[in-house]
Amino acid sequence: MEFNKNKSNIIHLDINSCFATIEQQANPTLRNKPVVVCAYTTPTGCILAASIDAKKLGIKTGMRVMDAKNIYPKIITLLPDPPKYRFIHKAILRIVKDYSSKVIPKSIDEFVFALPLGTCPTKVSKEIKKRIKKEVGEYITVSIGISTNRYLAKIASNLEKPDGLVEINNKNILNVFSKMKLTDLTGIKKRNFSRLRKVGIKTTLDFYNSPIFRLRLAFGGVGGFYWYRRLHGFEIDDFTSKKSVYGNSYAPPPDKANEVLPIISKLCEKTGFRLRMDNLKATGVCLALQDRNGYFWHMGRNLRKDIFSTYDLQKEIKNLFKESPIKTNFRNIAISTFNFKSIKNLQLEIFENINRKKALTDAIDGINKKWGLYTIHMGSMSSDSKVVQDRISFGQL
Amino acid sequence: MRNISEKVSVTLDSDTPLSVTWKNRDYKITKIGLRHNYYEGKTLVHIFSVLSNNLFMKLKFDTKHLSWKLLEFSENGI
Repeated sequence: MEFNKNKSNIIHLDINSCFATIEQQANPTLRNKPVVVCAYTTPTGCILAASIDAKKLGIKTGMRVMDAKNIYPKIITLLPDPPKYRFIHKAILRIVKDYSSKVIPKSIDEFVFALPLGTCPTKVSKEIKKRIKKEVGEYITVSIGISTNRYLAKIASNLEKPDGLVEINNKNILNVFSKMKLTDLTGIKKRNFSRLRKVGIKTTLDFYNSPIFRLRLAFGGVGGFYWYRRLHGFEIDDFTSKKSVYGNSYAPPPDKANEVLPIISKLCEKTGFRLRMDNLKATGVCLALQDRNGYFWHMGRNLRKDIFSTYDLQKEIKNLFKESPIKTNFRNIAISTFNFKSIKNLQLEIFENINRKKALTDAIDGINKKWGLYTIHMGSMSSDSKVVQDRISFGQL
Repeated sequence: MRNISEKVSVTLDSDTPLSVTWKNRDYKITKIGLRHNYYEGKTLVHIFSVLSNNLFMKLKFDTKHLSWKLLEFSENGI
């Protein structure tokens, strides 16, 4: 199969060093300095974003603060400020929406969108870059990738950082792939790399030139077919999957590592609120725990009745917690709900007035919506805002 | 960087802060780094990240109480 000969109209936009750059935009005294935004500024705190100058020194996302300080002792460490990042995300989204009716925010710092046919993607990309500098902030730079499908547009956006603008099309695909390692490709890491090695694919060009049957051997039937289409510039990732899980997780700092019940309580408040805002109730709950020695435990349970209130959610999660062998020194605590139904169809119960419970929950949600989440909350929840702080998750929004 | 939460008075030109008075001292705003807003419940708050020469200040304007607060300040990013 030849590469897709259609004109490139898919754009992938990525904000460079997102959180760190936004902090440097807000505080000009931090510009052109190594800055990191980290979950905690303590030595074991995880780095969420490193500025372009910090990256030049070898400091990367995911490192610990102490490792960054070993590289550059004077590094500036900042705590995240989620409202600021959400504001910039929305400001860039507004600009991008002027050029496309189909914009998909892939995460807080990534957008993918299709341009109408006949529009020049390079011209539009340059204009978007200019407008971001003028309307959002002069220090904020974005890398833009252009191609015929989302996958290659993302690859293109990673090729030149910061402030890049790269197109992958049928004319340069071989040249681009010849300079890339297999593991540079999105979605090809350790396990997929060994799958490809097993069928004799050692380079990115081998991968591109492989016949479909070889990719089917590596990834299985449909998986191999999808990879084949994806690499040849055909769109196969244009779908929206139905949300199957609502949940929240939290990695407590060492001094809060034993405060599991207030943390569970706050996670339940947050998850329950999100569930009800989407008019859903759940019939499944899951709890996952990891301690600081690396032990991991999780358990899910299908429930006999549907739940929507924070109280019921918390009761079920606490029941799961009783089964857990991990009781102290937590590194990560995650709760989730699954198997959803519409909250409009409430099942009446013999011993409980479900309509009264719904009315009470609605009233509490109304107050929390007006005055801020956690204005009214379960007594078991710590009102200390430092127990489960506002965070922005990695990945899909 | 120091986190505080102290009331300040701010002189405006239309909706742009020109100077901040804090502890009986005036600070002329030389640059606005970022202006963003968000809701605290149903109250809209505006945050101004500004510079007064080398002094960085983060100011919060509460649109319900029409009051200003200084949230953070730092000199040369420290």
